[in-house]
Amino acid sequence: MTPNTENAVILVVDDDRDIVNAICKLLEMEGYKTIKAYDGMQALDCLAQNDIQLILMDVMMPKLDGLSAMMKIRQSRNIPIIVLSAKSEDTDKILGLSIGADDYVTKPYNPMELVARVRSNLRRYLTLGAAGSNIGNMDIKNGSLSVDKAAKQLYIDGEPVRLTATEYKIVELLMENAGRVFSAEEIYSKCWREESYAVENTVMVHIRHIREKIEINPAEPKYLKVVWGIGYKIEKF
Amino acid sequence: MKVLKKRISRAVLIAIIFAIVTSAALGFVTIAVNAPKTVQNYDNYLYSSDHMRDFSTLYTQLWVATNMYLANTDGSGRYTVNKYHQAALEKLFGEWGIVKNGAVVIDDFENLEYYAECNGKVLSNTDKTPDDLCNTGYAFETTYNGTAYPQKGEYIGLPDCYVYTTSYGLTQYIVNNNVYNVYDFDTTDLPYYYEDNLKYYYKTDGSTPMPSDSDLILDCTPYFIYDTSDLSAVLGNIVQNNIEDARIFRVDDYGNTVALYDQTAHKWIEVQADSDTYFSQSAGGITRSDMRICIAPTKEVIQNYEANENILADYYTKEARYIITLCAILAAAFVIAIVYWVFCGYDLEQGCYRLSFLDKMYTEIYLSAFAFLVFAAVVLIDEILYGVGMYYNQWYSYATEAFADSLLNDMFIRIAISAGVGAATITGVLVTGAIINKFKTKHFIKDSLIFRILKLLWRLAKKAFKVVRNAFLSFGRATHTAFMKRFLLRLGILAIIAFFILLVTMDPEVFLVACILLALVYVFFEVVDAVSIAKLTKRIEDVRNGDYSVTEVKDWDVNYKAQQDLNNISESVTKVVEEQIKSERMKIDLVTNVSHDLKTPLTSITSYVDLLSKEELPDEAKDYVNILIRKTERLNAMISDLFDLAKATSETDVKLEELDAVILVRQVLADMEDKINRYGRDVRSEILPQSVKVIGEGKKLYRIIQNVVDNALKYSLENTRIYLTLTESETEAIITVKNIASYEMDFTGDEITERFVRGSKSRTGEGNGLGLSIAKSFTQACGGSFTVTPDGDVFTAEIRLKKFDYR
Repeated sequence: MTPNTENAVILVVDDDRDIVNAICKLLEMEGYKTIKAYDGMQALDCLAQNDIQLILMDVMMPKLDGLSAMMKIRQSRNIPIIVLSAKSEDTDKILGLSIGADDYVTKPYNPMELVARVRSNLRRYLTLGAAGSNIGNMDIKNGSLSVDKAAKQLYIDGEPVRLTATEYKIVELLMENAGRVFSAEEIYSKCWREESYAVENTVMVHIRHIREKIEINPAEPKYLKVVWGIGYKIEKF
Repeated sequence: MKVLKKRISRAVLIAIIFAIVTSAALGFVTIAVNAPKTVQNYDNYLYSSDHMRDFSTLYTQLWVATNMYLANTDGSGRYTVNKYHQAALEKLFGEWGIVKNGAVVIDDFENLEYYAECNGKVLSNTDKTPDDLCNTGYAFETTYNGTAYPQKGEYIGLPDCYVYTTSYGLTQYIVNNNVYNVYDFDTTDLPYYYEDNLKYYYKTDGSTPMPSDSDLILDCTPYFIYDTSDLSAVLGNIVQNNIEDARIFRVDDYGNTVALYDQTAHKWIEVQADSDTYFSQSAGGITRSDMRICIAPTKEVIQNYEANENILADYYTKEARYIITLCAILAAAFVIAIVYWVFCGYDLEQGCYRLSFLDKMYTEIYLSAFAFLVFAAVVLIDEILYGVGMYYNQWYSYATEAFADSLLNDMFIRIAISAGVGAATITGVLVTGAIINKFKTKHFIKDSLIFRILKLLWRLAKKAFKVVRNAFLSFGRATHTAFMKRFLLRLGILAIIAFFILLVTMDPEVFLVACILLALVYVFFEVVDAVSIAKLTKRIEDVRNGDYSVTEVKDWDVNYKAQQDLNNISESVTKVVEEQIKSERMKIDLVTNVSHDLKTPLTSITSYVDLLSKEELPDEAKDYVNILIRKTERLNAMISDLFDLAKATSETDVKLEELDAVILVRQVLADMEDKINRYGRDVRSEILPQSVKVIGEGKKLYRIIQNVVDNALKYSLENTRIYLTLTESETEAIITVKNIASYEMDFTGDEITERFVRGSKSRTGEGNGLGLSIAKSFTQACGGSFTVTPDGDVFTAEIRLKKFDYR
C-alpha cells in the first residue's frame, strides 16, 4: 500500500443519513478520511471546498440526482467515482459506467467488497494514474488487467497476481483475444495441448480459481466471464 | 302382497263372469238345439211343400177348367165360340188332358176340398157350399180378386193365371207363365210374326194390327215424327205429295217414339195409341162375374194344424221363460263386468288410476281385439240362429247341417262352444277394461301406435323443415356477401345478353361465338376477383406474422369490406399491444421502485450489522450478530429473487440467442461443483447428445438449471444420488433432474411451481420457495416448458427447450 491511499479523503453522498454514517464509519476504520453530503448539490459544494480523492455516490437523491451530479463533476474533474445504487439492472450499470462512473456497487453492498473497490479505485487513481510506473512495458493491457508475457505475470492495477502455469496460459489466451468467446474444448486444446474430451469440468474449475484470484466479487465477475452455453471470455475494456 | 290380493280379486271377478256366460251360452245352445227338434216332432201338412205343390196343381187345373172350358161352353157342353176358336181350345185341352170327351177331369187331392163355378156349372169334390169352405178360415177364394190363402199358416204363392182378350179376335191365356194364343178366325195361310217366341197372325186388310216395331215390316221411308196436335197436317202433307212407304211416329209422354200409322199395306191403318187396345185383361174384356173358385184344407188337416199350434205355443212360452232367466243371469254378468270396468286400474295405495300389467300394450291391439270379438260374436250368433232356422225349415246348407248336427248330437261340442263363448266374453271384458283404463289414465292416445308414429313423423317433419329453413337462410345470407352478389349479377347479365343475341340473330354459330366472348369477359372479372383474394390472403399472412400496417383499398374491390375489417383488426391489435407494453413497463417500474425501497433500509441494516461485528463484543453478542448477518444476506437474496421473478413474468427484454445445451449443462455443473461437494450429494449426469443447439438467454438458462439442481440438493435425502440427464427430441432438448425427496411430497407439480411454495411445510430451512417458480418463469420466457412431477418419493423436474432450428 502506498502512503497516499491511506490518507485519501472520500466524499460519501447519499440521501439516507444512516447509510452515509455507516459507510463513513466503515471507511474511517480502514484509515480513510470522509466527508458527508446528502444530495447532489451538497456533493458539488463539498467537492469545490475540499481536496477529495474519491466519491461514493448514490443515484436517487433529492435536488440533484447522482447521475446528473456525476456528469457535472466529469466536466472538470477526473477523480474516481463509485456509484452506489439500489438499481441492480444491467442497463442501470451500463448507464452509470458510461456516464463516467469508475465502478458500480449495488445496494445492499457487501462492506468488504465496498472497501476493496474503494481501495482498488484509489490505487489506480493515485498510484498508477499518477506515476504510470510499470504499466508501460506490459505486453497486453485491458482495463485494470495487464500481462507481462516474458515474466508470465498478470497484474491487476499494477499489483501482481499469483497464478499457476495453466491458469496463466488460460489468462494469456483470453487476454490476447479479449472479447472473444472460447469454448472449453478450445481452451483445453490450446492450454493443455492434448486431445480434449469432456473437459468442461476441468476448464471450469480453472476458470473459477482464476476468478477467485482476480475478481473482487467472484459471484459477479468484472473481467472473466462465463458465456453460458457457449464458452468463456475476458471482457474487453 | 296387496298386488297379489288385487290380482286374485280380479281373477275371481273374471272367473265369475266366465262361469255365468258359459252356463248361459250352454243354456241358449240347448234351447236352440231343442227348438227345431220339438217343432219337427209334429206332422204339419200346412207347412209342407206337398201342400204347396198340391194347391198349385189344383188351382191351375181349376182355373183352366173354369176359364177356358166352362166359360166357353153352355150347360150341355157345347162350345159357345166359333169353330176356329173351338179347334184351338180343343187342341190345348188335348195337350193338357183336363178335358176328356167333353168332361172335365180334375186330379184328386185327399187333403184339399174345392168348389169351382162358372156359367152355373159347378166342379167340386165336397158337399159343402163354397161359403162353408170359406168359413173354415183356411180357405182360398177367388173371383179375380182372390184373398190370401191360408189366413193362418204359411203363405203359398198363387200360380199366375190370366186371360186377355182383344177387339179383333185374339184371346191370350197365361197359365203358370206359359202364354197361349187362341184366334177366332182361320189362320191358315195368314202372314205371321214372332214375338217372345209366340206366333202372331195378322191380316193385310188392317183388321188385325201389325206390331209396332217388328222387323217383319219392310223398310219404310220416310219417317215422320211429329206432335199429336199436328197429325192432320202431316197426314195431309203425305197424301198431297203421294208419299209411299211412310211411317209416322209420335213422341209419347216418356220420350219414346210410338208408331201410329203404317202404309206398308197400301192402306191407312188406324190404331189407337194405347197398347191396352191390343189386349185387355179379362176383367176389362170378358166379364166373368159368375165365376168362383174356392179351395180349403180338409177338416182333419185343420184340426191337426191347430193342435200343433197349441203345442208349439206352449213350448215357446216355456222357451221364452228360459230365455228371460238366462238374460237375467247375463245381465248379472254384465253388471259384474261394469263393476270391473269402473274399478279396474285403481291403485288404493297411491289413490289414483294406473295401468296394470295387462294394459300396457299399444291401444290398437286392444281396439282390434275388441273389433274382432264383436265381429266373431256377430258371426257366431248369426251362424247359430241361421243354422237353427235352417233346421226349422229342413233345407239348410251342408256346412250348417254339419254344424247343426254336431250341436245336436255331441254334448261335448256344446260345452266346448259355450266355454269358448265364455272365454271370448272375458277376453272382451278384459280388453274393454284395458281400453277404459287407458281412458282413465289418459293413456288412450299416448299408448296408441298411430299416435306415436304421427308424433315421430311430426318430429321428423319439424327437423326436415328446420334443415330446409336453415339451408334457405344460409343461402339468403350468402347472397348478401359481395361475392355472391357479384356472381349472381354477372351471371344474370351475361345470360340476358346471350339470350338477346340468340333472339336477335337466331343463328347458333353467332350465338356460340358470343357465348365464348361472354365467357372470356366473365373469366376476366373472375381473374380480377382472384387477384383481390390473393391480395387479401397475403395480407392475412402478413397480419399473422405481426405486420399490422393499414392498407388502402379501392372501394370497388370485391374484398373492400374484408380489407377494411382487417384494417380495423390491425388497428385494434396495435392499440392493445401498445397498451400491454405500456402496462408491462409500468409493472416493471413498480417492481423496481418497490425493490429500491426495500433495499435502502436493508443497506442500512447490513452496514450497521457489519460495523457491529467489528466491535469488541461478548461472545454471545457476536453469535447474535452472525445470525443477523446471515439473515440479512438471505433477505437480500430473497428480494433479488423476487425482483427477477417479477421481471421474468412480465417477459420483457429477453435476449434470445443460439447456444449449446450440452455445454451449458456442463458449465453449470462445473460451476456448482463446490456447492455440490458441500452438500455431499453425488450428481450423476448422463448427457447423451454431442451437441444440442437451443434457443434461450444464457443467463436465464444458467439460472434455471442452477435453481433446479439447487432445489435437488436442498431437498434430497442424504446419501442419495441426483440424476441429471440431457436428451433430445426432434424439436426440443430435454433436461431432467431426478432426486429422492427427503420429505413426503404431498403436492402436485403445478402447486410446487407456484411462488413461495416449498415442498416441506416447515419454513425454517434455507430457500425461499421462489427457485422453481423462477425456473418455470424463465423457461417460459425462453419459449420452453417446465414441469415438475412428484412420483412417490421421486421428484422429477423436466426442462424442455426449443431447438434453435425449431424456434
